[in-house]
Amino acid sequence: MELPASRPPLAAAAWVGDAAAKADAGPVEFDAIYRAYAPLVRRTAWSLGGAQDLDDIVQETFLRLWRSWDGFRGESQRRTWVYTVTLNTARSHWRGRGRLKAAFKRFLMLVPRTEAVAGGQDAWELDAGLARALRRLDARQREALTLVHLEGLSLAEAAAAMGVPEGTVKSRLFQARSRMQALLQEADHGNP
Amino acid sequence: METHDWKERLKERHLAPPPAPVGELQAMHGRLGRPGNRLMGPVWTFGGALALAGLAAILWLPGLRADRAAQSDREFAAVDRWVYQQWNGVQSGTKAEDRAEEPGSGLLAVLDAD
Repeated sequence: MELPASRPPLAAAAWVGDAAAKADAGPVEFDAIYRAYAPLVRRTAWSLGGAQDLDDIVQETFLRLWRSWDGFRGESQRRTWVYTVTLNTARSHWRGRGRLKAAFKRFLMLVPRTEAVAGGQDAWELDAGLARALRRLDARQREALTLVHLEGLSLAEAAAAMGVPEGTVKSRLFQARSRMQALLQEADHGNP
Repeated sequence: METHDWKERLKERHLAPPPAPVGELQAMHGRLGRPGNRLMGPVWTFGGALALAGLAAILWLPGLRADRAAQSDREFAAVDRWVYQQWNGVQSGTKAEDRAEEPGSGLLAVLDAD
Protein backbone atom coordinates (compact mmCIF):
# COMPACT_ATOMS: atom_id res chain seq x y z
CA MET A 1 0.00 0.00 0.00
CA GLU A 2 1.26 3.42 -0.83
CA LEU A 3 2.27 5.33 2.28
CA PRO A 4 0.68 8.72 2.82
CA ALA A 5 2.73 11.82 2.34
CA SER A 6 4.03 12.74 5.76
CA ARG A 7 5.04 16.26 4.82
CA PRO A 8 2.20 18.76 5.14
CA PRO A 9 1.33 20.68 2.03
CA LEU A 10 2.95 24.10 2.05
CA ALA A 11 -0.17 26.12 2.67
CA ALA A 12 -1.31 23.65 5.29
CA ALA A 13 1.77 24.41 7.33
CA ALA A 14 0.45 27.88 8.15
CA TRP A 15 -0.51 26.70 11.63
CA VAL A 16 3.15 26.50 12.59
CA GLY A 17 3.28 30.26 12.49
CA ASP A 18 3.71 32.67 15.38
CA ALA A 19 0.00 32.97 16.05
CA ALA A 20 -0.37 29.28 16.86
CA ALA A 21 2.70 29.31 19.07
CA LYS A 22 1.33 32.32 20.97
CA ALA A 23 -2.11 30.79 21.22
CA ASP A 24 -0.62 27.62 22.70
CA ALA A 25 1.62 29.44 25.14
CA GLY A 26 -0.83 30.32 27.88
CA PRO A 27 -3.95 32.34 28.63
CA VAL A 28 -5.41 33.40 25.32
CA GLU A 29 -7.97 35.65 23.80
CA PHE A 30 -10.55 34.28 21.43
CA ASP A 31 -9.09 36.30 18.56
CA ALA A 32 -5.70 34.66 19.03
CA ILE A 33 -7.22 31.21 18.77
CA TYR A 34 -9.15 32.26 15.70
CA ARG A 35 -6.11 33.76 14.02
CA ALA A 36 -4.03 30.70 14.78
CA TYR A 37 -6.41 28.01 13.67
CA ALA A 38 -8.97 29.52 11.30
CA PRO A 39 -7.23 28.30 8.12
CA LEU A 40 -6.81 24.79 9.50
CA VAL A 41 -10.40 24.52 10.70
CA ARG A 42 -11.82 26.01 7.51
CA ARG A 43 -9.80 23.75 5.20
CA THR A 44 -10.67 20.66 7.19
CA ALA A 45 -14.37 21.46 7.44
CA TRP A 46 -14.41 22.27 3.72
CA SER A 47 -13.00 18.88 2.74
CA LEU A 48 -15.17 17.05 5.21
CA GLY A 49 -18.49 18.58 4.28
CA GLY A 50 -18.19 20.91 1.31
CA ALA A 51 -19.55 24.41 1.04
CA GLN A 52 -22.94 23.70 2.56
CA ASP A 53 -23.07 25.04 6.10
CA LEU A 54 -19.27 25.48 6.08
CA ASP A 55 -19.50 28.80 7.93
CA ASP A 56 -21.78 27.32 10.57
CA ILE A 57 -19.42 24.42 11.21
CA VAL A 58 -16.39 26.71 11.40
CA GLN A 59 -18.09 29.06 13.85
CA GLU A 60 -19.41 26.23 15.99
CA THR A 61 -15.94 24.68 16.07
CA PHE A 62 -14.40 27.91 17.37
CA LEU A 63 -17.07 28.29 20.01
CA ARG A 64 -16.35 24.75 21.18
CA LEU A 65 -12.60 25.37 21.09
CA TRP A 66 -13.03 28.50 23.16
CA ARG A 67 -15.26 26.84 25.74
CA SER A 68 -12.96 23.89 26.26
CA TRP A 69 -9.61 25.59 25.65
CA ASP A 70 -8.59 25.54 29.31
CA GLY A 71 -9.82 21.98 29.71
CA PHE A 72 -7.33 20.64 27.17
CA ARG A 73 -5.34 18.04 29.09
CA GLY A 74 -2.29 17.95 26.86
CA GLU A 75 -2.61 14.26 26.03
CA SER A 76 -1.89 15.10 22.43
CA GLN A 77 -0.58 18.13 20.58
CA ARG A 78 -2.89 21.14 20.70
CA ARG A 79 -3.14 21.02 16.91
CA THR A 80 -4.30 17.39 16.99
CA TRP A 81 -6.93 18.35 19.54
CA VAL A 82 -8.13 21.14 17.27
CA TYR A 83 -8.59 18.55 14.52
CA THR A 84 -10.55 16.37 16.94
CA VAL A 85 -12.88 19.22 17.86
CA THR A 86 -13.35 20.06 14.18
CA LEU A 87 -14.18 16.45 13.32
CA ASN A 88 -16.61 16.14 16.21
CA THR A 89 -18.32 19.40 15.32
CA ALA A 90 -18.69 18.38 11.69
CA ARG A 91 -19.97 14.94 12.70
CA SER A 92 -22.59 16.29 15.06
CA HIS A 93 -23.58 18.95 12.53
CA TRP A 94 -24.12 16.41 9.81
CA ARG A 95 -25.93 14.09 12.15
CA GLY A 96 -28.61 16.73 11.95
CA ARG A 97 -28.73 18.49 15.28
CA GLY A 98 -26.41 21.31 14.24
CA ARG A 99 -28.00 21.53 10.85
CA LEU A 100 -31.42 21.87 12.40
CA LYS A 101 -30.16 24.50 14.80
CA ALA A 102 -28.55 26.46 11.98
CA ALA A 103 -31.70 26.28 9.90
CA PHE A 104 -33.78 27.40 12.86
CA LYS A 105 -31.48 30.35 13.56
CA ARG A 106 -31.63 31.40 9.94
CA PHE A 107 -35.38 31.10 10.09
CA LEU A 108 -35.41 33.46 13.04
CA MET A 109 -33.09 35.79 11.10
CA LEU A 110 -30.63 35.74 13.98
CA VAL A 111 -27.78 34.64 11.76
CA PRO A 112 -28.33 35.68 8.18
CA ARG A 113 -26.73 33.24 5.79
CA THR A 114 -23.57 34.72 4.34
CA GLU A 115 -22.86 34.17 0.70
CA ALA A 116 -19.12 34.22 0.29
CA VAL A 117 -19.23 33.85 -3.45
CA ALA A 118 -21.44 35.51 -5.97
CA GLY A 119 -24.15 33.09 -6.98
CA GLY A 120 -23.92 31.12 -3.74
CA GLN A 121 -21.26 28.96 -2.22
CA ASP A 122 -21.89 26.09 -4.59
CA ALA A 123 -20.39 28.22 -7.31
CA TRP A 124 -17.07 27.80 -5.51
CA GLU A 125 -17.00 24.16 -6.60
CA LEU A 126 -14.84 24.25 -9.72
CA ASP A 127 -14.38 20.52 -9.99
CA ALA A 128 -17.86 19.14 -9.55
CA GLY A 129 -16.90 15.54 -10.38
CA LEU A 130 -14.17 15.48 -7.77
CA ALA A 131 -16.42 17.06 -5.17
CA ARG A 132 -19.18 14.59 -5.92
CA ALA A 133 -16.81 11.66 -5.53
CA LEU A 134 -15.56 13.06 -2.23
CA ARG A 135 -19.11 13.47 -0.99
CA ARG A 136 -19.92 9.86 -1.89
CA LEU A 137 -17.15 8.54 0.32
CA ASP A 138 -18.07 7.14 3.69
CA ALA A 139 -17.72 9.92 6.29
CA ARG A 140 -14.99 8.06 8.22
CA GLN A 141 -13.03 7.39 5.03
CA ARG A 142 -13.29 11.06 4.11
CA GLU A 143 -11.96 12.02 7.52
CA ALA A 144 -8.93 9.76 7.13
CA LEU A 145 -8.26 11.05 3.63
CA THR A 146 -8.57 14.66 4.76
CA LEU A 147 -6.32 14.39 7.77
CA VAL A 148 -3.58 12.22 6.34
CA HIS A 149 -3.51 12.98 2.67
CA LEU A 150 -4.69 16.57 2.60
CA GLU A 151 -3.62 17.97 5.98
CA GLY A 152 -0.42 15.93 6.06
CA LEU A 153 -0.86 14.42 9.51
CA SER A 154 1.06 11.28 10.35
CA LEU A 155 -0.93 8.11 10.89
CA ALA A 156 -0.37 8.42 14.65
CA GLU A 157 -1.60 12.03 14.70
CA ALA A 158 -4.63 11.19 12.58
CA ALA A 159 -5.40 8.23 14.81
CA ALA A 160 -5.23 10.46 17.89
CA ALA A 161 -7.44 13.09 16.24
CA MET A 162 -10.02 10.53 15.14
CA GLY A 163 -9.86 8.55 18.36
CA VAL A 164 -9.17 5.22 16.65
CA PRO A 165 -6.12 2.91 16.36
CA GLU A 166 -3.56 3.55 13.66
CA GLY A 167 -4.52 0.35 11.86
CA THR A 168 -8.06 1.63 11.48
CA VAL A 169 -6.82 4.87 9.95
CA LYS A 170 -4.66 2.87 7.53
CA SER A 171 -7.51 0.68 6.41
CA ARG A 172 -9.92 3.64 6.07
CA LEU A 173 -7.30 5.44 4.03
CA PHE A 174 -6.84 2.47 1.77
CA GLN A 175 -10.59 2.10 1.31
CA ALA A 176 -10.93 5.83 0.66
CA ARG A 177 -8.30 5.80 -2.07
CA SER A 178 -9.76 2.73 -3.74
CA ARG A 179 -13.25 4.16 -3.63
CA MET A 180 -12.17 7.57 -4.94
CA GLN A 181 -10.38 5.87 -7.81
CA ALA A 182 -13.43 3.77 -8.61
CA LEU A 183 -15.82 6.71 -8.37
CA LEU A 184 -13.70 8.88 -10.62
CA GLN A 185 -13.30 6.11 -13.18
CA GLU A 186 -17.04 5.57 -13.09
CA ALA A 187 -17.54 9.30 -13.68
CA ASP A 188 -15.06 9.24 -16.58
CA HIS A 189 -16.88 6.36 -18.24
CA GLY A 190 -20.18 8.07 -17.71
CA ASN A 191 -18.93 11.36 -19.20
CA PRO A 192 -16.39 10.58 -21.91
CA MET B 1 -11.19 14.05 -15.64
CA GLU B 2 -7.97 12.07 -15.55
CA THR B 3 -8.01 9.80 -12.54
CA HIS B 4 -4.26 9.65 -11.98
CA ASP B 5 -4.01 13.24 -10.80
CA TRP B 6 -7.01 13.20 -8.49
CA LYS B 7 -4.86 13.46 -5.36
CA GLU B 8 -3.20 16.63 -6.59
CA ARG B 9 -6.50 18.10 -7.64
CA LEU B 10 -8.00 17.19 -4.32
CA LYS B 11 -5.13 18.95 -2.55
CA GLU B 12 -5.62 22.04 -4.67
CA ARG B 13 -9.30 22.00 -3.81
CA HIS B 14 -8.56 21.44 -0.15
CA LEU B 15 -6.18 24.39 0.04
CA ALA B 16 -8.64 26.79 -1.52
CA PRO B 17 -11.83 26.69 0.52
CA PRO B 18 -14.43 29.42 0.05
CA PRO B 19 -13.23 32.52 1.90
CA ALA B 20 -14.57 33.28 5.33
CA PRO B 21 -17.49 35.68 5.22
CA VAL B 22 -16.64 39.26 6.00
CA GLY B 23 -17.04 39.91 9.69
CA GLU B 24 -16.91 36.27 10.72
CA LEU B 25 -14.84 37.06 13.79
CA GLN B 26 -17.24 39.82 14.85
CA ALA B 27 -20.17 37.45 14.29
CA MET B 28 -18.53 34.96 16.61
CA HIS B 29 -17.92 37.68 19.19
CA GLY B 30 -21.65 38.27 19.06
CA ARG B 31 -22.29 34.59 19.72
CA LEU B 32 -19.76 34.58 22.53
CA GLY B 33 -21.41 37.51 24.25
CA ARG B 34 -19.46 40.05 26.23
CA PRO B 35 -15.89 39.43 27.43
CA GLY B 36 -15.57 37.08 30.33
CA ASN B 37 -18.49 35.09 29.07
CA ARG B 38 -16.84 31.86 30.09
CA LEU B 39 -18.20 32.67 33.52
CA MET B 40 -21.66 32.99 32.07
CA GLY B 41 -21.86 29.30 31.15
CA PRO B 42 -22.21 28.09 34.75
CA VAL B 43 -24.49 31.04 35.54
CA TRP B 44 -26.86 30.08 32.76
CA THR B 45 -26.64 26.43 33.72
CA PHE B 46 -27.43 27.23 37.36
CA GLY B 47 -30.25 29.59 36.37
CA GLY B 48 -31.70 27.01 34.02
CA ALA B 49 -31.55 24.32 36.68
CA LEU B 50 -33.21 26.64 39.17
CA ALA B 51 -35.99 27.51 36.72
CA LEU B 52 -36.58 23.81 35.99
CA ALA B 53 -36.69 23.01 39.68
CA GLY B 54 -39.25 25.81 40.19
CA LEU B 55 -41.37 24.54 37.35
CA ALA B 56 -41.19 21.00 38.67
CA ALA B 57 -42.22 22.21 42.12
CA ILE B 58 -45.18 24.12 40.71
CA LEU B 59 -46.32 21.07 38.79
CA TRP B 60 -45.55 18.54 41.50
CA LEU B 61 -46.61 20.18 44.77
CA PRO B 62 -50.39 20.22 44.16
CA GLY B 63 -50.18 16.54 43.27
CA LEU B 64 -48.22 15.88 46.43
CA ARG B 65 -50.75 17.73 48.55
CA ALA B 66 -53.58 15.79 46.91
CA ASP B 67 -51.70 12.55 47.62
CA ARG B 68 -51.26 13.49 51.26
CA ALA B 69 -54.91 14.41 51.57
CA ALA B 70 -55.90 11.09 50.04
CA GLN B 71 -53.53 9.26 52.37
CA SER B 72 -54.96 11.12 55.35
CA ASP B 73 -58.47 10.08 54.25
CA ARG B 74 -57.36 6.47 53.98
CA GLU B 75 -55.80 6.55 57.44
CA PHE B 76 -58.94 8.08 58.91
CA ALA B 77 -61.08 5.43 57.17
CA ALA B 78 -58.88 2.66 58.61
CA VAL B 79 -59.18 4.03 62.12
CA ASP B 80 -62.88 4.54 61.59
CA ARG B 81 -63.28 0.90 60.47
CA TRP B 82 -61.34 -0.33 63.47
CA VAL B 83 -63.38 1.68 65.92
CA TYR B 84 -66.58 0.47 64.30
CA GLN B 85 -65.47 -3.13 64.53
CA GLN B 86 -64.44 -2.79 68.15
CA TRP B 87 -67.64 -1.03 69.17
CA ASN B 88 -69.81 -3.45 67.26
CA GLY B 89 -67.90 -6.37 68.81
CA VAL B 90 -68.48 -5.13 72.31
CA GLN B 91 -72.17 -4.79 71.53
CA SER B 92 -72.71 -8.16 69.82
CA GLY B 93 -70.03 -10.31 71.49
CA THR B 94 -68.68 -11.59 68.12
CA LYS B 95 -65.07 -11.64 66.92
CA ALA B 96 -63.89 -8.61 65.01
CA GLU B 97 -62.99 -10.57 61.80
CA ASP B 98 -66.53 -12.05 61.62
CA ARG B 99 -68.26 -8.73 61.71
CA ALA B 100 -69.40 -6.92 58.56
CA GLU B 101 -67.65 -3.71 57.87
CA GLU B 102 -69.51 -0.49 57.47
CA PRO B 103 -66.75 2.02 56.96
CA GLY B 104 -67.65 5.65 57.22
CA SER B 105 -70.04 5.29 60.09
CA GLY B 106 -67.98 3.81 62.95
CA LEU B 107 -66.21 6.68 64.62
CA LEU B 108 -69.02 9.10 64.05
CA ALA B 109 -71.46 6.60 65.42
CA VAL B 110 -69.28 6.18 68.49
CA LEU B 111 -69.03 9.89 68.96
CA ASP B 112 -72.75 10.33 68.45
CA ALA B 113 -73.44 7.56 70.94
CA ASP B 114 -71.25 9.34 73.46
